[in-house]
Amino acid sequence: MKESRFWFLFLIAGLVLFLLLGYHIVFIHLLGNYEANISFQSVASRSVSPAYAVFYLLFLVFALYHGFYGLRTILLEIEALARHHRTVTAILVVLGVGLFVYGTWALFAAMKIGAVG
Amino acid sequence: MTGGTPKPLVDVDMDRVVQTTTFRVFRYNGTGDPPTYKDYEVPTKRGMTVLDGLLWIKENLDGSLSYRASCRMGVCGSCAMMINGKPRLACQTQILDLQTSVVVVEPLKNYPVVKDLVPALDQLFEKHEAVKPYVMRPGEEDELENPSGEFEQSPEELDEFIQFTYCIKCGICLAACPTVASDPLFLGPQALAQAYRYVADTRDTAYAERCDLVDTAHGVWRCHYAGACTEACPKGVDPAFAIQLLKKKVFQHRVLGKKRKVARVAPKPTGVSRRPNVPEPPARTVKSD
Ligand code: FES
Repeated sequence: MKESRFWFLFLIAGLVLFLLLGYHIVFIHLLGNYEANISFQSVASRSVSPAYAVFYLLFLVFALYHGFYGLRTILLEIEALARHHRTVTAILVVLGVGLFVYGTWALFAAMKIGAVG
Repeated sequence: MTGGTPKPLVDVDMDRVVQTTTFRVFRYNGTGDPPTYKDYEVPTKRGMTVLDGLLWIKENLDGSLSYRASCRMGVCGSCAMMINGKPRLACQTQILDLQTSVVVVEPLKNYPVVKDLVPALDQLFEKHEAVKPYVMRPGEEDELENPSGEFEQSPEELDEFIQFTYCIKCGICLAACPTVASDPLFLGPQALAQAYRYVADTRDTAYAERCDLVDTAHGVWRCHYAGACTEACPKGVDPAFAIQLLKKKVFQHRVLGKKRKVARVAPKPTGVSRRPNVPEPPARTVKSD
């Protein structure tokens, strides 16, 4: 894929993160009772909601992409790594996919705990 | 050639000297020995440039000092060097404007040094060449070789890139760029600004090819808009702006699939003839194969 498409996705991911984080900050931190919003009961009830599962999954995907693209940019500007951009990209993709799998597993685990709780 | 003593390159009339300036000059003999700094006292008169100072040192104090210079009027781009920590043209930097009695002169940053103040500019020219800095019309090579007329281009279309044609290839922008400092493969402001110059030129039809050349891991997207190149450019070319415009063009082409207008060959005027006192153009001097 051409670099412009990676870069465009990076911008899109930034925009989506802005919206998701905005939603999170408004509804968890600013509106209602913050202490109640982060209580175990409240977190457990959110984690079983399919809408929240989609929210967390999107957050996970876009945060990982945005973060790892930024990290790749930094790494590729290091003289010693500049010539190995394919290797750097491949390592970051593997790491990113690994963290996505781990995050998804954690999300489903939380759904299970929420369902029991 | 007439006889007698040759006229000095820099004639310092001692009555008009207003200060003595210490030139602290980077010296490197090109053999791998560690570089040193050497001080020279230069009598300075109003209007004298750093290049004049170096010429005066070479003529009067130390003939072994090496630097590049040619036009002495900010046109050829040869005399770029670090002057008191900033990349500048030595022939356009007046000593008294620096408002100090010590002038530190070093070779351009981000380039290997050949000797003293002479940088090896290979990366500048290789990167410039890599973006194919010339008008291309794939499939119409014959028209370029044997033009049947002029390409039609409006003044507004010319305005889109004319500023970026003023680049004199001095290499100062690469010495100023923080990304070039850490990423040796980054195409850099000079080449990217020139890529934009041709991407925006409606006479050129290799739009897609040139977009491909800069749309890489070390291409146009690596510019973080520090703006140091624009700040340093002695010709007001504004490479940082050109790079942002290039990002827009690549994005429009690659992501939005937008096409760009192409200049056509203007039809020959009909019903007119050459005025009797206007001569025919001379024959071609370059023979095509
Ligand atoms: S000597 Fe030509 S630009 Fe300075």
